[in-house]
Amino acid sequence: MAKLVTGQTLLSKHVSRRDHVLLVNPPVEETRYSWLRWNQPLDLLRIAAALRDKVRCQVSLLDCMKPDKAGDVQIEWLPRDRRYATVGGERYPMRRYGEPHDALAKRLEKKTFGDKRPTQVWITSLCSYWHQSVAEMCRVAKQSLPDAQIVLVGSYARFMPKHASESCAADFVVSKFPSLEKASLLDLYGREMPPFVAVDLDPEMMVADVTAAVERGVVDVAFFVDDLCADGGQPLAECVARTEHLHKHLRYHAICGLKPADITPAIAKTLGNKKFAEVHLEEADAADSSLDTDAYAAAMRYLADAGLPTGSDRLSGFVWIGRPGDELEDLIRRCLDVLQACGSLILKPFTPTPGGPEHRAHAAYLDSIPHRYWSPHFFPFAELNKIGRDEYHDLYRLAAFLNEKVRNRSFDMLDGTLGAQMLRDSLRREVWKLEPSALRVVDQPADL
Amino acid sequence: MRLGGIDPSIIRELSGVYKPFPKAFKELISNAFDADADEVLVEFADDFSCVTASDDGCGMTPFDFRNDFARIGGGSRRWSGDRTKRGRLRIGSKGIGFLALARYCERLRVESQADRTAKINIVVPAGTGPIDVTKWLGVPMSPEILTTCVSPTVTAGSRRKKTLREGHGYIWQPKRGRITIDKKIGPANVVLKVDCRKLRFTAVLDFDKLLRLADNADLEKLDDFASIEVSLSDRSDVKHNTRITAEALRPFVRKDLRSERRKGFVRNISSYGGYEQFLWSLSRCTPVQYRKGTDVDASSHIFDFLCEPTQPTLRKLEVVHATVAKLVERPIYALEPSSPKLHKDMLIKVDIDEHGLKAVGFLAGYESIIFPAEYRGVSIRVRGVAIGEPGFLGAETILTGASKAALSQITGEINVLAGLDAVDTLNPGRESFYEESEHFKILRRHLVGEGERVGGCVYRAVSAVIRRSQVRSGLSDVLGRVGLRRRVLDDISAAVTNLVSQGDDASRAIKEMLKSNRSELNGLSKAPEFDFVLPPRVGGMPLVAKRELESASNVDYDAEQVLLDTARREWSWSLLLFDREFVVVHKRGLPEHPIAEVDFKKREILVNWGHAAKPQMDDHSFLKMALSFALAKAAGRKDARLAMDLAIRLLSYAGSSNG
Repeated sequence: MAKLVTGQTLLSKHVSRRDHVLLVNPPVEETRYSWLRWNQPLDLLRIAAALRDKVRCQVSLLDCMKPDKAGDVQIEWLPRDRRYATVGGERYPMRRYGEPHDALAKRLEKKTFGDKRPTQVWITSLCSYWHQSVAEMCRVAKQSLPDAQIVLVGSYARFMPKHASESCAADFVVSKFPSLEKASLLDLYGREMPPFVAVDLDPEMMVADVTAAVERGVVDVAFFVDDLCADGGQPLAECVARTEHLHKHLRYHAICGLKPADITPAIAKTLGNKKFAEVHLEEADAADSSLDTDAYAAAMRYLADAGLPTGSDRLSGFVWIGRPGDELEDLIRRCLDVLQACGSLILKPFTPTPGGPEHRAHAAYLDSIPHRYWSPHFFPFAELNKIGRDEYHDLYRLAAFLNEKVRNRSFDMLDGTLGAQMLRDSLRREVWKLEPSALRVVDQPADL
Repeated sequence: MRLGGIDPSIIRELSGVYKPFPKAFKELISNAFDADADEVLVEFADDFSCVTASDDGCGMTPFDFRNDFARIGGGSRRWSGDRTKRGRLRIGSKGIGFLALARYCERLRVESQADRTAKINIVVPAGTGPIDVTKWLGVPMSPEILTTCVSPTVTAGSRRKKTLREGHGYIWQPKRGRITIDKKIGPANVVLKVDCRKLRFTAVLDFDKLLRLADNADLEKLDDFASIEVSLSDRSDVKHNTRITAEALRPFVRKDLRSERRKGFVRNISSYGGYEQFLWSLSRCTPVQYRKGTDVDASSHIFDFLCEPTQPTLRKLEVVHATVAKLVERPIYALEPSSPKLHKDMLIKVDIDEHGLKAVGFLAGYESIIFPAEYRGVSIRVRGVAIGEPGFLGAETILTGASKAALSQITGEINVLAGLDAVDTLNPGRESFYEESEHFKILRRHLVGEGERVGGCVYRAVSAVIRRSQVRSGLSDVLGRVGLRRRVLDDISAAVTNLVSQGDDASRAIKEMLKSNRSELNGLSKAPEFDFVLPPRVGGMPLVAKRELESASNVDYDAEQVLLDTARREWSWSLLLFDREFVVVHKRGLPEHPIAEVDFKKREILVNWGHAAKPQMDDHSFLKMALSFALAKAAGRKDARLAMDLAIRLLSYAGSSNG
């Protein structure tokens, strides 16, 4: 059984200058991974910088999720025995995203990482419910590098240390890691850089990361932060001000952490910068748990003043689905409200953080569900909410349809014809990889 | 000018010998070679409406043009010998080359000059009046040219010849183009000496008109199918001695040349664009130098085999279109940068010296199919020019099955140094040999043997290819089986990891089992060891186990052995079960012994290869079943349902999608 340690202990007692640490971002086994292109092991890149700076040991990176030269991440079906996961009577196709484990075994056995074979393999995970892939990665590492110590870091180790120590053939499970104030070590990617760089809101680190990325030809910057509006938006403004001149094609992607209620005119002005290619607003709840339409209205007013009006291709709003207490009618109303506010809608399936408030509130219910089925795409609260998974899937179709209604004018020249309808249906199915549904919005809401 | 005595239908037939266009065009290059040219420049008009071949050879006088070039059967070999002045073996012989382009263009414009003197002999009977010199010269010449370049020598008497001086027995009037011999002289002999060094002629052969003539046309109408103009020229202006232009290329030729490369990835020359195909054809059928690639491995012997220095070629053949110049060189597959490595045992030397036939060259076999397909087969060059397309002299119709398939992996090149004379053994157009030729029979015997069985060099090459293929497939079979066994172990290892992470009853049972240190063996431990031996040979070569090879296997064709790196993980029988390493031990137990047992104390899993179930399945299926059952039994020892569930889950687990 693996030993539970803190990051501090690990760095001070179990890693030395003589070590060669291989950092691994393992592949992901999921039914759907819409945000695949934004997978970057920011924690590993920070850890790498700390290891090189403090411990001064050799560090290598194996990012299985890094897109290839064509910008694609390898996707393959899981083998036949695990090709479908059946959750609540619903069959979900399962795929592996990223480099498969058997290919990794071959890479680890060859001298891919220099002459000195890795003495420690640190494996991260972005989400705890992807733990099976982490366990398999541990096995592959142990088998290919029998003398190396296996260390688990990341969300799985942090949120479920006991589970990790029992389920993975690791030597150490790092339950807590000190905050690392080091810029990412992008040089670990070598010549083949990923298409974007993930950053957080610390201006010093962000500037260092973006500068390093731009030097390597990467111009897309994604903010991986929970609160993009922290400190009244001052850090965000500073980050943008200090980096926007670095490259004329630099593009920022505000993919998370943007709460409508926190958006001030100053923040809106920053977001209105044309270098922001994507701005996604988190769902805002009022005190009575209804949608905070006032917050949306204010935020949209500020954003419109800053040059980012409703309906802009750069703007969209998230709507959570699958949260405990969901009601279908309320969800549809929220969809329509967010669509009206932002002009575009993205459904965001919800899953509780292990040990978080939703978990604590529904511990008995959730603990009866195997952790791998906590994936938001399986809607772990479906039974609790008494909403069928097929109904959640219909919501996806509804969102696609609504987006189509408002935004897509591609087939306007065929408007009203069966051809246009068929083209739109086909496009929607292609985008969402869903089978056609009988659900249709018959009447267009008056205010759309 | 006329083509005396030739029926137009024969002309039509002869012109059809040369096809397609590049094969016809090559005649101009062959003529340049026979004229001792070193460099030939081919220039296409941007729209492919015409093409010009210019060379720096010895050129033609207007009389050469009339008597040799534009005359059926006027091949210069007959009266100038087999070799050119510079000692090259002549390519042309039959004297029909000038008709080669007749079907492909409307006109052929020939411009040339030569540093030579021509002599025309006229026997003048006694009492003959003034002689029209231009009629005897056969080409129209202006008074200026006659004055400058023509000088007559007149001798009198039929037995004792006496040279006359001008004005004393004869009068030479160049401006009128006539010689008048005094009637008192009696019979005389006039030799017109024409200094051609300052003469340049331009002739136009009107093929359109020639081919339009019907079979019953009056032969006299052929007289004016060619026109010739002779002029004085300053040699310093002239870069090339001969310049031949095929004017107004026919629309189908232009279309072919303009055709585009087939879309997508193409491997064969026939899918290239028309102009690229033209260049390729020219490189195969003209006497040009070999394209020398990087001299590596066995291919470095190729030039020794070909005796290349003894075969003179054009120094440079350049083709220009749309200002882009391309050097035409003869490619050899073995020397192409993209060709795979040529191994010594696949390179077969050809050296024939029998009854006047002397030929040298090589055949080369490859482990993979040769692309472009046009490289496949043996190319035979006579006098530096390939005869027809590469082939196997009929072996392809005799061989069947794998041997026939092996031909697609063989290429070759043979230079005929002596024998197989072009006149007696080659069909017009040099597209094939006369099979009755003794030299051809000798060549065929050496290359493909006699009778209904293929022998000779082709047989050796086919055998070498097949042997490699057998070694490769045997080795692949051995490595495949090893890989499958390793995969079974990896699958079981991954299945255990997967079960542990499930967090259910099976997971707990597996974890419990792995903590165990018990050793409950039921007789299998005392059974004799089962040795997984390697097959002794693959493809006739012994297998030798070796450690630390750069690759999993290495075939040493020189030492005739196959080396296998048995230190690699594929050969290991270790099995990682979660965090504990086990070793799979093979036993030859009795059919009634357990299929497998786990010794947790020694960390061994004993597999009974003598079990009754083994004959029902292959090695890896049996191994997977044995391991699954043994582990399921050990983990679910208190619960038969759990054990069965575990066995099924372990058996059905696949590590990767393509398994």
